[in-house]
Amino acid sequence: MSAVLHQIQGRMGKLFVLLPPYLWMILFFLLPFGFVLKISFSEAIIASPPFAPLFEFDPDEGILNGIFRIFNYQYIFEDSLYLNAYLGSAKIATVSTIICLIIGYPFALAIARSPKSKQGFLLMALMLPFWTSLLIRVYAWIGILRQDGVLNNILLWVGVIDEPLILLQTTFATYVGVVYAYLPFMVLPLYATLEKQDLTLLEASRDLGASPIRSFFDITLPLSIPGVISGCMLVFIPVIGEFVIPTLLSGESTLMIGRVLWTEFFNNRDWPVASAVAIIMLLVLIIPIIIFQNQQAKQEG
Amino acid sequence: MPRFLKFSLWAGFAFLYAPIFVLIGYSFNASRRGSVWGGFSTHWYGELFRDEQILNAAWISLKIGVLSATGATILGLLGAVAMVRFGKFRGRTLFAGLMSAPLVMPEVITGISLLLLFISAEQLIGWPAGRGLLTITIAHITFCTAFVLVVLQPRMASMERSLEEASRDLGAGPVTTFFLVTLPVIAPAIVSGWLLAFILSFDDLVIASFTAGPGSTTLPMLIFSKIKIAVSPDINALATIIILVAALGLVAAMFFSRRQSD
Amino acid sequence: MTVGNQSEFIRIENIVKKFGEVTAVNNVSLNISQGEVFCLLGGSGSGKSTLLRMLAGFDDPTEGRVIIDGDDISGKPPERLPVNMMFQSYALFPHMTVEKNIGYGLRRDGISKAETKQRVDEIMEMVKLSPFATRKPSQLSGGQRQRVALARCIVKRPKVLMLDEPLGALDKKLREETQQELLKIQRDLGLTFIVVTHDQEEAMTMADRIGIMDMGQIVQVGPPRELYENPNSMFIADFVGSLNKFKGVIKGQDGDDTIVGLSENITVKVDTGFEHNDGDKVMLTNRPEKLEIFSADSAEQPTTKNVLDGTVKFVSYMGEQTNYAVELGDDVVVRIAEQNHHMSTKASISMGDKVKVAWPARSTHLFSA
Repeated sequence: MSAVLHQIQGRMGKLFVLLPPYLWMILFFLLPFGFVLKISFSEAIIASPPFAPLFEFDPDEGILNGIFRIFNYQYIFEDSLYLNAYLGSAKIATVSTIICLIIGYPFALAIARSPKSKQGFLLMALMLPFWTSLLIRVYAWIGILRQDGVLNNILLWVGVIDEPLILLQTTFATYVGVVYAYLPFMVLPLYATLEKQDLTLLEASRDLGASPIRSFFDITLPLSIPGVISGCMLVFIPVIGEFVIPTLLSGESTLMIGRVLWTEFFNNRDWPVASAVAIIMLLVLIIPIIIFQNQQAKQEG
Repeated sequence: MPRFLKFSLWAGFAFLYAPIFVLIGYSFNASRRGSVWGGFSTHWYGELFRDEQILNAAWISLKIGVLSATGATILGLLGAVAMVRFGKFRGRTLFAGLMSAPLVMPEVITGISLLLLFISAEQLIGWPAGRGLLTITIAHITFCTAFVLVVLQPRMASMERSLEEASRDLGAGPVTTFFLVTLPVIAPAIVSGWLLAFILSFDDLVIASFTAGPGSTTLPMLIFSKIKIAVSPDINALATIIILVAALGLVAAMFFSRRQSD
Repeated sequence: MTVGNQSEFIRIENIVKKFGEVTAVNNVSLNISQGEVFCLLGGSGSGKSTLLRMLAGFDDPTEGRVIIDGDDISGKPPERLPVNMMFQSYALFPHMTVEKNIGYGLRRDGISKAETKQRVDEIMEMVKLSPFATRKPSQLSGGQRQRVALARCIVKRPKVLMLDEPLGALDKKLREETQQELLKIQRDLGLTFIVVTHDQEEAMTMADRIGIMDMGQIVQVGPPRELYENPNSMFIADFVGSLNKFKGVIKGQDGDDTIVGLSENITVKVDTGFEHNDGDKVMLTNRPEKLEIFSADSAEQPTTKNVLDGTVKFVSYMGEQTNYAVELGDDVVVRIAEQNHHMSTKASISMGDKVKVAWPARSTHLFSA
């Protein structure tokens, strides 16, 4: 009897722990996508809120009429602006992810191979910029890249150039900003897998006759693939929807979908089109997100 | 360590820190034009503390940050307990997915979806009445919870299971055990998780912009509206202060996690 | 309170534990009496730890029940059982002082602060921890931690104390000392101990009785001497101590002795109650320390029923004893362990020497092959 009671209590206790976060995430993370989907089939009107209701109650017939309009999607597919923005985002995200990996891998490896006593400090140094507002860090690059900024001044002073380069509001500035902002997201998961690696494996490989470079490609790199996947996804996915960096650094040079969505939403107040843009972005990102989550689940198990 | 690795380490840190030092340098520049050095001055700091608008926005961000970090820490802690201690349960995959997806979800998507939820909910059930502190806080708790979980879950998983079993064995029930043993043991990670959530909330521009209402302009929203128009030197001073506070917060978090490993 | 039968203080009845498809504990029944030191000995995966965890209430048995002092404990949570466990890792709460750790269980039972303090002080005195009362576990040595873990359990005066590999984390010197201390406390307080270990030496020195586990079942229960001298299976014989093993065939009978052929040319006499027929294939075992070795030309000569000629293949000097491997011909190799208590001519036996091996008929066992 008491055993049964104990089991029921145990089950209630588990529900008590599980339900608050579960319900919260369903209510405020999963459910909202439903509303985005719904409004993406709606029509923009000048009102508050600026979209037509999807269902109308017909008092004569006593029925609820649903009116789904797919012209928002048609509009997106017909106007090359959107397609170019999606492609632009994909290109920026892909190239930035690769650059982050190229810079981040040796960086992470260097931290992981530092003396244990120094690793804490190095990690802290890596985290510090990440703990500082992204907005402010991107803003700082304006001061460096603009025509009378620090970089041009230094280059002029050294004599590499005769007149200031136009760096700001270029694709170059976009890449600098994105790589700068997302580098820690690449380095941290890489460090986590590299730090766990058994160094005697490398010694064994060297002992068996492999050169340091051979050992890196045969041992270190294959064993760090989970970190590479996590890092790449942590950079690639959010960069697709990036808004702050293209707005502050790219000017008109680069079209990115996050900024287009923002403009549709805030400047044009076309919420249904903005919703449709978000839905398509989400569809594009579903596969990378699934890859990321599988990786998370594997690392946990 | 190979020379190449040493070089990447230093180059990497130079890349990460150069903009921050440039910003700090500018904040003490007496000249209004950023490019010219007009001598050392703390003028812009003075300006900052006389700017009602900035102080007001900072106060709003602080309130939202504390509330969001606390909410996210509670939800993240419960989530970590469920993920680490409950083994396999029905709906675990969905749960794990929901708890980690916000880590990578583009902010514009999270922002627009939460706003549309709030507006639709207001139409349907009259809640939340308008948007402001409450809606921003709900939005921030939602995405910060994922980050708190990332900090807490490994700590929870590496905690020796026998500590909790010993407590049960010595006569404590599951709830008592959680408060007297589990919580104190992972306390440093909880502090780190809270600080991270606070910083994320305090720094967020995009999600707050979608979910804010009139009168709830946060500090990043105000900064954004200023720097979009022109370089303004008082923002350099503000940025320097924010960097300093973040650095202190990080040192505190590291200090706590050091203590935990002892 | 119901008081159960003394010799059936703990009654384990047909207990089964399955994890999905895997049966970790398979129909174990066992009685343990009050004041006994009972050792569960087995390799990893033998089910001994699972059995212990069920006794402590951490896992519920799939079938069967456990009765401690007349109370059925099945399904009760660990905090409501009159048993305490000393964990292999000690599981000392890192954020509490020694004092707080030891008093934890008393406070959970609702005992007043004053009484807790008094009882904690008493126990700390007893296990010599008083000077360390306000230290944290991280500031203690391995032996001190072990004593805190012990004190934390016994302060609650449990009916049964379970010890999971109690000496596993200590170095060799400290082990012997601690072992004696543990047994002294057990006797002084009249506690019932259930010890789980994979270390047969630890089990032999501590236990009144040992239960050997293999693949989820208890294969033999008995006092250490009985398990060593009269193992009921090849598995037990091999598990406890070192062993010579030979394949053989029953050749016939000579009075009380059974004649077993180890090869075409080698036969030995075995005095055992083993039921057999001529021609049966058997496994023959004996202990290396029961055999004697003599130089072929030594003045001292063996008097046992079996004396076999052989050649020394290997000698290793171990300090207190010397181990020999001797080939008897036909690829039959026997290991011999001799105590080095007297300086004899044996000291000069070396590799390649011709020797005689004395092979008593008694201390040899036969098992069906």
